[in-house]
Amino acid sequence: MEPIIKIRNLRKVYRIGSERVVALDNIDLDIAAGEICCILGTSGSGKSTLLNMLAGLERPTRGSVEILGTDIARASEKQLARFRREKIGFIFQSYNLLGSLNALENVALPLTFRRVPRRKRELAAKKMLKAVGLSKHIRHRPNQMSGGQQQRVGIARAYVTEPPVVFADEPTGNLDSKTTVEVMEMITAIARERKQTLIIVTHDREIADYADRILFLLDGRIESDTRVEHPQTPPAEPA
Amino acid sequence: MRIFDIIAMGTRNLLRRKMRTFLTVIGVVVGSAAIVVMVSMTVGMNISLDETIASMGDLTVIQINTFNSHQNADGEWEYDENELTDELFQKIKQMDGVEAATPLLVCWQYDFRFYAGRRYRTNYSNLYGVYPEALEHMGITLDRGEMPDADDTDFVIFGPDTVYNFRDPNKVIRNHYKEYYNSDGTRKPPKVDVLTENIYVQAYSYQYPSMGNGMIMGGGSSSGQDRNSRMTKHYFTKVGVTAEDNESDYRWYDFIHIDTMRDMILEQEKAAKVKASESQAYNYEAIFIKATDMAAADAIQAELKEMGLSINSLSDTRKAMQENQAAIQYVLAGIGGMTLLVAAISIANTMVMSIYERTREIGMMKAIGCPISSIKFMFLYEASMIGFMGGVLGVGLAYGLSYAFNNIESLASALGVNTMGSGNLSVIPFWLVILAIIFSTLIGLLAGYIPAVRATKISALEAIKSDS
Repeated sequence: MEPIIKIRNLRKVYRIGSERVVALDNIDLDIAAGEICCILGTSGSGKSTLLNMLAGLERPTRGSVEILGTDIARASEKQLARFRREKIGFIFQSYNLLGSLNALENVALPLTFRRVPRRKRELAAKKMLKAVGLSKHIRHRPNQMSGGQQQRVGIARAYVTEPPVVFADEPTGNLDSKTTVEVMEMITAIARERKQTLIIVTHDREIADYADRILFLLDGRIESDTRVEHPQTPPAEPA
Repeated sequence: MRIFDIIAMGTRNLLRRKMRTFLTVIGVVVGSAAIVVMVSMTVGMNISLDETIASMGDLTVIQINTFNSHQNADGEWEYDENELTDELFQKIKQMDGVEAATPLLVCWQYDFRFYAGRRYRTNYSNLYGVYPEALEHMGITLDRGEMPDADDTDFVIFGPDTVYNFRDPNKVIRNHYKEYYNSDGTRKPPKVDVLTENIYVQAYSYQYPSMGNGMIMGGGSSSGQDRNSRMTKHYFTKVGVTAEDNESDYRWYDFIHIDTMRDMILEQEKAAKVKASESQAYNYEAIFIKATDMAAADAIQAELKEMGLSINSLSDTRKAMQENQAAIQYVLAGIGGMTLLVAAISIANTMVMSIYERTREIGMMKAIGCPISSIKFMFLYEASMIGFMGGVLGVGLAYGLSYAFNNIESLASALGVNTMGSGNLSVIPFWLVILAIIFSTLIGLLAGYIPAVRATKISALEAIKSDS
């Protein structure tokens, strides 16, 4: 099966003053469609850099990143915006919801960018909010919700456009352990159900347990690439 | 993004920071109100200036007088004498840009008596000999009768008051008041209707040589009377009476063709054996010139001055007045411009602040695929909205100020501007309202441009990284 993401010979070098820091060193990686992949690493391992490059937020020093047949390393700003709008969902560590919009409008935002008419996008957003269990918080503003609720809004926003690829950058970094379990279950369950490719970046080993495949990054290299044949099923009912 | 969605989002952003938006708008309100008031004053001044100049007379008209008084640089009055010869007139007539010209021929030596039928005549007339083509340009309009064409020679135009001069010389009048006025004090109509009577004119001289006793009063010498009665009678085919409300100073004057008048003078002079060098047949009191337009009038005046003639031109007066006002207007425009500049800086400042605050937001929007053009558009919309609202409210404020200036006497004088003529100090035309709103919106757009471009350049990466 043709991989949905193809990384070839990827290298990123930062220049800090006169020093050159190699953040990513000749990465080669294929990720198949529908895979739930966890990029694990300590801070400074290059995992964030890799994610940024996958999402087209940062340009590589060398090499190519091909997603769904598009080399995003060579795309223009405009093409990248369009690519992100149509092919990617993004879940942030600090949720990044718009304070002036309510939950529904926040979820509908990516559809707004896609010029979807209001009625249609709010219907989709409502459905998505229901899926993340926030039907009763549709009109709530971010500051009227808990961290876990906000992140669920963030998840709904990432999935509402049904993108082929979803990136999650430390999605549970700001959450307590109980909420972490809820959120991770939700993220992976939706991705599995819809057969979307999910790439999670984290430093938390426990998060890696939710993935099909764990890439361990160290000093800009892929130190190990483990496939989990039978992903550990977390307890169905949280204690 | 759809335009409507961008606008909705931008509006929400403005409303989110109500106080800041409000204060920035206030800045623009003051700026645009200042501009509108300043310009409205300029408009008001120009209107009253135009009125003043219009009341002074036609700017395309030049009159050269024999005697010209004017103020010199020290403010003292000086009197110049111009020698107005027929040669000069012929030269002027050939100048470029002259539409019509005529000398005003006057004669002090003889009287000109108009006769109406057998019974009535006038004793004297303030008579001008003119070419008919210039009459209408001299501001002469007729109340009754017919205006002469350029090629008419046998015409006469009476003043609204000179028609009362027709009297019956043989009637003995005991009570002059009763003869000419009604008991209620109103004037009785003229004795003759000049339009229906058969009118002619004859030159009359009191002063014939060898009057014996030295008396110069008429009626004493029969030979003198005989001579006067032998003078040619000039009949008229076109008769007119100038209008009562004629603005010109000609209501006490009569006009006939210059050639007719000259013939009468020459005839009398011939009879009296006056030397040609002492003839009054070319005694021009003034030369009247109508130019095709104001530029031509300026050129003609310059040429006349170069010829050594002394003239007071209306356009000189106008220029001085306009220069005087232009100075005030520059100051007004400067004040208005400065306030608006401050308002523009304030808008830019607000937008820059807004970007700092929303860095994360903008970064997130970029990360999830918001088109860069939409981000730019949103910021431009917000900035121009501030300008637009400021413009609308500013025009409202300007109307209030304008009303105050026009109706509170002391305000106008406190500002040190006096309105000449009857006009208002401040006049806000409709185009100014539209222009002010467009202008302040544009100012907002311009002030918001650099911040908007900066917003699009925010790195999504940096924005997301900056932890809350």
